[in-house]
Amino acid sequence: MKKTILLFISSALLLAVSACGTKSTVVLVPDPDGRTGKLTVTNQGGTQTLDQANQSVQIKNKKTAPGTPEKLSHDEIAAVFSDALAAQPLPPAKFTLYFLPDSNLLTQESKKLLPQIIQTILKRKSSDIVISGHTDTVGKKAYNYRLSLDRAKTMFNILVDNGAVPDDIRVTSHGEGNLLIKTPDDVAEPKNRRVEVLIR
Amino acid sequence: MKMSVIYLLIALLVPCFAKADTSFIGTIKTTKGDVTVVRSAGQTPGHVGDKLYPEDVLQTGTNSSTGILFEDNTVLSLGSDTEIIISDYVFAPEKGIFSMVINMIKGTASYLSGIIGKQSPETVEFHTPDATINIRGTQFLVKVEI
Repeated sequence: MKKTILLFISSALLLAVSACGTKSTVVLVPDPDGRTGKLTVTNQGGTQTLDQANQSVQIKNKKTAPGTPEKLSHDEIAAVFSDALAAQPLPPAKFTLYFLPDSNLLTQESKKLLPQIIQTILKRKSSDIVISGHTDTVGKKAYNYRLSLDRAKTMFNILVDNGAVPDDIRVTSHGEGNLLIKTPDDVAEPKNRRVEVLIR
Repeated sequence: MKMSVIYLLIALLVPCFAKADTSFIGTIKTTKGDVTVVRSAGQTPGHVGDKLYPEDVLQTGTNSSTGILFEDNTVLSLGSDTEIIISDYVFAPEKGIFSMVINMIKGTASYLSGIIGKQSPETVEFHTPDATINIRGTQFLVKVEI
C-alpha cells in the first residue's frame, strides 16, 4: 500500500515537473570498448535517432519534437557529465583458470593469474565474487559435480587465504553441465576443466 | 490439526521470505556526498554495498554522485542534484523475461547497457519528463533541467 502511495507521489511529481517545462539533453557516447551504439529519443512531437559518437539532442518539452542532432566536444560533455561519469562503477571482471585432468590442481599457466585476481578483488574492495566450477565430460556426471565443486572450493580457499572475505564469495558447481567447448560425452577437453571467477 | 495449519502457514510464508531475500536488483557500488534511497519503508542514506529493489527512488545532493551495478551488469551512475525512479526491473534469463524502466526526474546520469540491453533492448525504457529513450546496446548520457 505504502509503495503504491509512494509511486503515486513520484508519478505526480513527475507530472508536475513536466508540466512546468523541463529541458532534457541526451548524448550518445562510445562504450568502454570504443563501440558506439544507437538510440532513439521519442515524444509526442516525434522521434530523433542518434547513431554517431558524441551526438546529442535537446528536448524542449514533450510536445515539441526532439531537435536536430549536434555533435558535442569532449570538453562540452565533461563540463556537464564529469561527475556522473566519474561515479561509474567498473564493469565486472571475469577470470578463467584451468585445471589438470581429474584434479583440483591448477595448471602452471593459470597459477600465474592468481596475483592479478587477488589484486583485482582488493583494489575494487569487491564484496560480490562468484566462483563457478566446471569439468570436462570424462567420467560420470555425479563424480564431475563433486570434482567441479572441489575445484571451486580450492579457488575459494586461495582467495580467502589472500584476503578475500568468505561472506562476499558465492560458490557454484556445474559439473559437466556448462561446457565452454561443446563436446560429446567422455571427451577430455582442457578448456572445460576450469573455474570462472567473476568479480563485481 | 493445529500443526497442519501451522505447516500450511509456514509453507505459504517461506516463499515470500525467499522472494524478499533474492529479489534485489542491483547494488550501490560508489558514493560521494549525500546519496539517499527512498522506498516504502522510508528514506535511508545510500552506502556502498547497499542492495536496491524495484520501485526504489535514488537521490543525490549537491556535489554528490553514486554508481549502481545492476544484476544484469547494467551500469547506471548519477551526478549531483539528481533523482531517478527504478520503476521496473526484471532480470530472469532462465525464463527469458527482461524489463528495465527508469524514470529520471532531474539531474545528470550515465547509462551503460548490460545483458538486458544487449539481449532484449526493446524492454529497456529510459524516460525523462519530456521524452523516452530507447537503446540498442550502448552508452548514453542524459541531463534533465528543471
